[in-house]
Amino acid sequence: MKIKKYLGILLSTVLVTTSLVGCGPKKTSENKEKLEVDKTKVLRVWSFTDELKEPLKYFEEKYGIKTELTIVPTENYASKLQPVLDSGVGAPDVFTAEIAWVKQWIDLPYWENLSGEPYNADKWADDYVPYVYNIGKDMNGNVKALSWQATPGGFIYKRWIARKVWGNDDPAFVAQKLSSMENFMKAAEELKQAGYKILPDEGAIRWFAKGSDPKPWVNEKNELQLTQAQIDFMDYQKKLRDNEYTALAPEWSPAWFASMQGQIPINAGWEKDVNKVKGNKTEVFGYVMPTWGLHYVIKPNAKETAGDWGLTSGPSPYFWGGTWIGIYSGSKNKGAAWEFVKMMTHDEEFLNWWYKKTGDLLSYKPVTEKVKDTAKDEFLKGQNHYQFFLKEAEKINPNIVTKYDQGIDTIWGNVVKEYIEGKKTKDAAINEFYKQVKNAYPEIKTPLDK
Amino acid sequence: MNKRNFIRGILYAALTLLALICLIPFAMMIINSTRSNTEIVRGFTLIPGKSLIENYKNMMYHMDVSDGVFKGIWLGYKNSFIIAISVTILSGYFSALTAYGFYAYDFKGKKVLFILILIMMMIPSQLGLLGFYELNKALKTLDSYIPLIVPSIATPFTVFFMRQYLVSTMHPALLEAARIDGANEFSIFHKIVLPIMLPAIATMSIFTFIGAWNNYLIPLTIIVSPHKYPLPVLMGYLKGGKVSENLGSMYLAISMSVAPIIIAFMFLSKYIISSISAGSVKE
Repeated sequence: MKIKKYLGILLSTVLVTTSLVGCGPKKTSENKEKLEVDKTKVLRVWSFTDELKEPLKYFEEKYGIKTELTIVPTENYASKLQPVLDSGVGAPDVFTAEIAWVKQWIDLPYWENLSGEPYNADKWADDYVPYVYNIGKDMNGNVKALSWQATPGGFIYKRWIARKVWGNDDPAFVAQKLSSMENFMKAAEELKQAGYKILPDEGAIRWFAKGSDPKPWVNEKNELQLTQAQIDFMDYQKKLRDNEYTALAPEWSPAWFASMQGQIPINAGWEKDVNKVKGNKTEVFGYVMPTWGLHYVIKPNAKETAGDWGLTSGPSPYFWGGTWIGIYSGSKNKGAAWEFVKMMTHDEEFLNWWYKKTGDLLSYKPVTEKVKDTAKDEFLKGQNHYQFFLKEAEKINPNIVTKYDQGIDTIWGNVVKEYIEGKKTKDAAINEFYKQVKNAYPEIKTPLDK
Repeated sequence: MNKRNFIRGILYAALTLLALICLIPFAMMIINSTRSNTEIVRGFTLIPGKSLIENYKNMMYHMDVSDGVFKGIWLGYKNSFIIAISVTILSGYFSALTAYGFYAYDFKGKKVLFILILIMMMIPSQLGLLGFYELNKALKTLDSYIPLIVPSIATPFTVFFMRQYLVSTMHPALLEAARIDGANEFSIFHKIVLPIMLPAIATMSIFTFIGAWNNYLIPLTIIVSPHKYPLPVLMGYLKGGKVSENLGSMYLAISMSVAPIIIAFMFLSKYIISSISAGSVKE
């Protein structure tokens, strides 16, 4: 008898709690939970760059709320953040994610749902560059993260070389020269005849491969998609290598940085001191780089030639990188957290200040609309980089981003390299690619399964 | 005679070369800490740059953490010192105690326990990291120094090393003599055994200190509040810059963080050398 009684109590408690849990999310949307901004609490923000340092100072002054920024290096960010978010111990109120992590985290209960009350971020849909806004949505279409920037890419080139080779350094003219991969190769040949190299290394065109046939690596059925464009670009890369159109200076290597400043020896590779490498010297014509590449990579490394660079589009539009920001779902300080996210992504006054300070491409349209006609960059000989990048940003298709991108991109890059170096045939390289993807992500279906 | 000189010449040349190979990375580190970012990116020279002060200012700007008294890298120094010194003292004392226990007493399961210690030595601590995190979550000791300091009481390798040291240097007659004179077991340990073990303790202390000073992974996972970060984790703030920025400041921070280790080595190295040769001659 007694057991039955306890069983009854147990059952009813289970029922009550499950019904309560079921009510949980609804309650927040119905009862219009009010967000209180507690000024005595410290707002804790985690990020992988120091980009938020200045905005947080601005926030402290404007709202009188103390903040604490924790920077975790990129390579440790995910492994440090995830256990903290899972356990909630010492978790931040606001945290950022770069494109590689956004898709992994967005379907997990880490970020607060900003589509619901009291945030209503859905109303802002038209205020942002579409691709930026769409990447911040989870699989149910709820907005979980926002971004203040857009990071479309372009082709950044040295004007004086264009003048010497073609007698014209106008961005529209150069865009014409690079408008398709066939034209790109022709331009590369002309540059080679004149003693220049169109690119530092052949891997740089990987972004165009994605842009020319924008399909995600993995489709809805969890099948790996290797587009014809990607396969064609294997040949383009090989052609660049075989015809000696590049300087063989790998991205982020000392030679690569040095090539922005002036002449470098061919095939300096990862050599520490590029001047020691013997061989014919050459000069690189241009770089496939997005917004941040212009401001933070090329500008600081090409100080002596500032004012004689140009920005134009390559064979296809692409984007590279980007940082998204959201509120931790378990935060006890959501009021202040929301104020900060709002300021960072939807505050005209702040974003105007930020634009003037950094010149970075914003994703918030009310500000970009205002500045896009007057913006110009002295580094680019007064060219309006803002209008250019905004136009490129509109062309981007956000549906190609998957949570596998970083991993699969790396695997693909490696097998393509083996192909262009002649270590593997094309078919063997593609097969190897399927095998490695299968190894890394057993849940993905590859053509090998059939 | 000439032939001997010739061979000697070759030997010295080879040794100089080896010394250079060992020292060049250090020289690079120190020289690069005086050069600006673009200079570093473009290649290496042996001529120091002029950006030392700039690098320092930039470093302090990025490590913008303070606990009220200490700021930036000095805060990292303070935290690292607290952790490393506590770890060194605890590990030195308790390992000596354990090692002495294994040496002096016969008890049931002594062999099994010792083998257990040997097995523990073989397992890298990184493997237990997840469980360690969960354990501390349950004990509510996350974001404190307890998980960094207290576990060092049990350091298998130090125990093993010290026991071997005792076996080779300590004569059981010494203990018997003390017992006959009426000393209790603890004062035997403190007054007789500990002084004899001092060279071994000093040797192991250097390694423990370096290990604790350079420990990155465990503090990174355990500590959450920036003002509690030890030096290596704090240096992560410099990596938060834009693409390949702050290289000069990073070199400077690394150079500064190595300094205490070099000093510790200088003070304790004479003990190391004497304990390496200890026990090599037996009467």
